[in-house]
Parts: sequence; structure tokens; C-alpha cells
Amino acid sequence: VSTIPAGSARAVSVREILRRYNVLITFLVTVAFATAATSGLFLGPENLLNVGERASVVGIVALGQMLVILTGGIDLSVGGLIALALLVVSKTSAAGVPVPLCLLLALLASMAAGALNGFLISRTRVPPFMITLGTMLFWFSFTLYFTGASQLEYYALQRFLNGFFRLSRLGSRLLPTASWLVLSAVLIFVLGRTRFGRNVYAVGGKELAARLSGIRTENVKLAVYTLSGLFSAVAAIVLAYRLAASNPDIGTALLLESIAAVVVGGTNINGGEGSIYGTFIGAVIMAALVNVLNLLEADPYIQEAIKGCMLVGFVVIIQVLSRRK
Amino acid sequence: MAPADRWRDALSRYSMFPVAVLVLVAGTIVNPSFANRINLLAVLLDTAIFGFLVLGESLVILTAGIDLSVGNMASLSSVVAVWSMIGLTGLLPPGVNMGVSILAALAFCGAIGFATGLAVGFLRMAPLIATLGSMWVVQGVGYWFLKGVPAVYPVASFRKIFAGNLLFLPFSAVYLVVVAALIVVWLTRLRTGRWVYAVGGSDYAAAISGINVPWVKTAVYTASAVLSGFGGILVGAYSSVGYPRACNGYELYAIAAVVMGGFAFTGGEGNIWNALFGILVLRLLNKLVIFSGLSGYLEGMVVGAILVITLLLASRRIRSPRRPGAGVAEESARQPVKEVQTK
Repeated sequence: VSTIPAGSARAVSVREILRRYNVLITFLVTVAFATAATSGLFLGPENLLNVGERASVVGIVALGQMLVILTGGIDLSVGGLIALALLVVSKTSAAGVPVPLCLLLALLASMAAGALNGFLISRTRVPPFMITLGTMLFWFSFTLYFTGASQLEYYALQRFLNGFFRLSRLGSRLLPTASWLVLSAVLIFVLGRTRFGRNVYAVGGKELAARLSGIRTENVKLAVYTLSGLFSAVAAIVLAYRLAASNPDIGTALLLESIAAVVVGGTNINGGEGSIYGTFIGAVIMAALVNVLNLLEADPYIQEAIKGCMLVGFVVIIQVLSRRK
Repeated sequence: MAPADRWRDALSRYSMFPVAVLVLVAGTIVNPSFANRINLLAVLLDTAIFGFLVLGESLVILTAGIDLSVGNMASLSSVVAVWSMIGLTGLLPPGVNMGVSILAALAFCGAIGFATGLAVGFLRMAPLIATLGSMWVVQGVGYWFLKGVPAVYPVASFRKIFAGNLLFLPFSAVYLVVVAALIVVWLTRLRTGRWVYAVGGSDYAAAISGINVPWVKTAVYTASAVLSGFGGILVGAYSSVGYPRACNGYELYAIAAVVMGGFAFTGGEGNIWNALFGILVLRLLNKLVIFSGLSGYLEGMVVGAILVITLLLASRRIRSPRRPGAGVAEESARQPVKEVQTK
């Protein structure tokens, strides 16, 4: 969340505790609410597997989104980049290209598209949301041009990954969650221990100060948007692995969910502040919420409205909680 | 001002008009039937419908905000209108029913826009996040009203009033020009209208000169929702059905048109008429893609590319970098003024 000022140990008010542990508190409240509302069904092993599978896709997209938000930007094109990666995986494997090469091509395509975002954003003063809004439309339309109204299929990918990791039925359900955990761990290391990680926070904190202290801010921005492309592609592969076939626009909802996960996880929407732990918990909260609504057999249409309210509500709550006197 | 300067000035303020003419000429060269009456009427109709969303979006962008919910808001309006019209059939005479239903739809949209405006104005929430949230709320509510199924408007005169033609002009185009003219007069001639430009120029400067900035912001988001709602009513009248996805995705066209119209996304600058010419260009391009025998799916690529290229060209004009909602420029503006006050 944010650093604890020295010497504030005495006189810790309720408000201060709320501010410091807001993400953890939200998480505990969500789990308690979920368990109570479903009379314990939520904590069943089968259901937790479900939540994990769901959270992993949102969580992986949210990792890239968070890096971008940390630098004070936003990536609205994640849905388009996911569509692009799905298109590449499906079309290349259908053409008989070996699956590892298909995966590599999908990652590269999405990274290149992300790098294009980063290039345009770092070299001009156009707000990131405008550029990524344009590229989102571009990549969706690009994908639709090649697929038309037909479905994309990824059976080859599924068979390959199951064979490669020698996965049992349970193992195949844990693979998405495992890949999410590994990526989160890598990012915790990168953000906390490397120069690049510090630069990301510095650019978001105060860009001018970062530039004056010798950080090549445009390269940092280029890198975060490229990484967002990479994580979108990984999420697309996980989605493809889970679903075996889908529409190209399956990632549309992930835009809102990824931003919500980042924001619910306590990352400052204006940049410079936030942690991977928070984003991790944010993704779990979002997945748990959808899961509970499904368990309660809530109207699927009203779920979208609830997600929208959640995003706005959480931003307000976290803003109020973290306001210092 | 020398005549040449005056021409150059007019050209920069209405830059999208010659572009529209250019696209029209190009279209006619590619396919002579591009300029036939039916196609041009269809373009005009499209422009009129999208135009209301452009009006709303341009008001919001004038205050340095952004409204992602305009498309879904228009869909919601068409849904609420049909829902209310079906519910009131038999209870009220058709004419009254129609009036009440349309007002209900616009009021419903306005209420959601008002809530979004409060979040942006008073809670200082980033406009992008607030309207991304409301976009989803609006979509969910729209589906919920009709359970996802399109419904036919039961009042026959609804179509006549909103989808008829006045000689060769569609009614909707007339409505658009009248409403746009009212908005332009309000923005340029009335004090409350100037406030919108002032808030966009610098909300700190606006605040210390006595303008109630949060309320101005609340007002523009409400206005944007109501204008988009009216666009949704027109879509409903033309298609005869209220459908929760009728106008989803239109926000991209609205934003692109406003940016093409020369609005600074840092706020405070822009000419409404030029934004409307911008949407005319986009709708002409839409038809041009089809008339030149290309796949309709390519249109998104064309619009996306145009949006990005226009932004890159426009970014030369920008005075200072500023994130939506964040207060970098605001902070630096605050320091010197405080010093002046203490003297």
C-alpha cells in the first residue's frame, strides 16, 4: 500500500489502521461476506478451484495493467491485444505450425502491439487513454477482419500443454493459477529489487523529477506498455487453454476487471503507489465477487452493473480511507 | 485582420468541412453511386444520430474530462423508452404515453449522468474511471430492463415524429442543428456557458475567480448523458426497437470526432461545429469503406488509425502535459498564487 511514516507507532487511530490495511480489510470482508452469503459453499475445494481459474486470467492482465498505471498511464487496449494473441495462436496452429512456435508468435505479436502503444505514448504528449482507445479499436477490427463471425479454436494448444506438463485432470485446472503465481512472484522481485522497478515508481511519482534525476522516462514507458502486451498475450494463452474455443472478443470484459483489480488492490490511479500483493488480492476479490453472484444465481445482466458500481465504489472508499489529515 | 489571415483562421476553425468535401469527392471517384441521394441521406441520418453523442462528448472534453459512457447511455435510453412505452400502453393515450416515456428515458439517463458528475466534480474521481464504471452500470441496467431481448415500440407516431423527413432533410438532422445552435449560443454568449470553457482552461483559475467548479462539472456530465439519451431515442425511432446494445461502441466515434474537430483534450478549447463536421467525415468514411468493396470489419481499423494519427498531429498544439484528473499543472499553478495572496 504506502510506506508507513516513522514514529507514527504511538497513537495509531482506527482511521490510520483502516488506511494502512485497507486492501487486506476489503479482502477479509469480501471472503467473510462470500462465505456467509453462500452459506459456506464459497469455501468448498471445488469452488476455490473455480475462483482460482477465474482470478488467474484477470490477475495476469492486471499485472501488466498495474505496471502501466504505476507510471501514471492506463492501457485500454488490453482486450484488443488479447484478441490479437488469440487470433495468432488459433490461425498459426490451424496452419500446422508447431505449438511452441505458435505461442512464441502470439507473445511477440501482442508485445509488438504493446510496444507500438508505448512508442506513441512516450514520444508524444497525447494522453495514454486516447492512444490505447484508438489501438483497441484497431486491433479488434483487425482480428474481426480475419475471423469474420466464426469462432477461434485452440484444441492443439490444449493438447500440447497437457502433454508437455504431463497434467492430470486436477493439474490442468491448477495450471492457470500456477502461472499467475509465478508471474506475480517474478514481478514482485522486479518491482522491489531491480533498477527498472524503482524507475517505474519514480516515473509515476513525479515524471519531471524522474527525468531530471537521469531516468530515461520514455524508455520506462515503452517498457511498461510492451510488458502489458506480453501479459495480455499470456492471459490470452491461459484463456485459450481453459476454453479450447471462443469468440475473438472474449477479452472485452477483462479491461474493466483488470482496472478494477488494480484499483481495488490499492494502487493509486494517478501512479507512483501500489503493490503486486495488492493487485493479487484485487484480482481474487473481483473473481470472488463474480463467483458469489453466480452461486447466488444473480441475473447475469445485473452483474455487469454491479461490477461497474464496484469499480467506482472502491475508488471512492480507498480515496476516502487513504486521505491523510 | 487581413483577408488571408481571416481565411486561414476560418479554415482552422472549420478544418473538418473541407475534409468532408474531400472524402465525398474521393468516394464519388471510387464509386460513382457514392453520391446518390439514398446514400447521402443515410450519411446525414447517421451523422444526426452520432451527432448528439458528439455534442455531449464535446461538452465533457471542454472541461478536460472524458465520457466513455455515451454509447451505452444512448442504448439505455432506447431501452427505457420502450420499456416505459410498453408498460404504459392502455393506461395513457398514445401521444401522452410517448411524451412521458421519452421524458422518463432522458430523466433516467440524466440521473446517472448526474451521479457520475458528482463523482467527478465533488469526489475528484478521475473521469476515465468514473465513466468506465458508469458505462458498465448503464449496460447492465439496460439488459436487465428487457432481459436482453430487443422490444418493438408500441406507439406508431413515435416513428413519424423522430424518423420522418422534412422535404429532403431527415427530422433528426434538423433536431441536431437546432440543439447544436442552442449549445453554441449558450457556450459563447451566456455567462454560464463561458464557465465551461473556463473550467477546462484551468479549474484552479476558474475556482479562484468564483466559479463553482464541481457544479459545472456535474452539469456537463448530466448534459452529456441527456444528449446521448436523445441520440438513443433517435436510434430507437429509426430501428423501431429498443435494444440494450443498440449504440455500444459509439463512444469511440464520438471521441474521435471531437478530437478531429480540434478540441484540446487538456480542455478549454474547441469548436462544436467542427466536431460535428468531424463525425460527418467519419460517417462518410464508413460508407466509403463499404462502397469501395472492402470488408465492413475494416472500418474499425480505419477509424482507430485516424484517431491515433489525428492525436499525434494534434499533440503539437498541446501546451502542457496533464493526466486526466491529476493535478500536476494545478499544483504548480497553486504555488505562485498563494505567494501573491500572502503579500
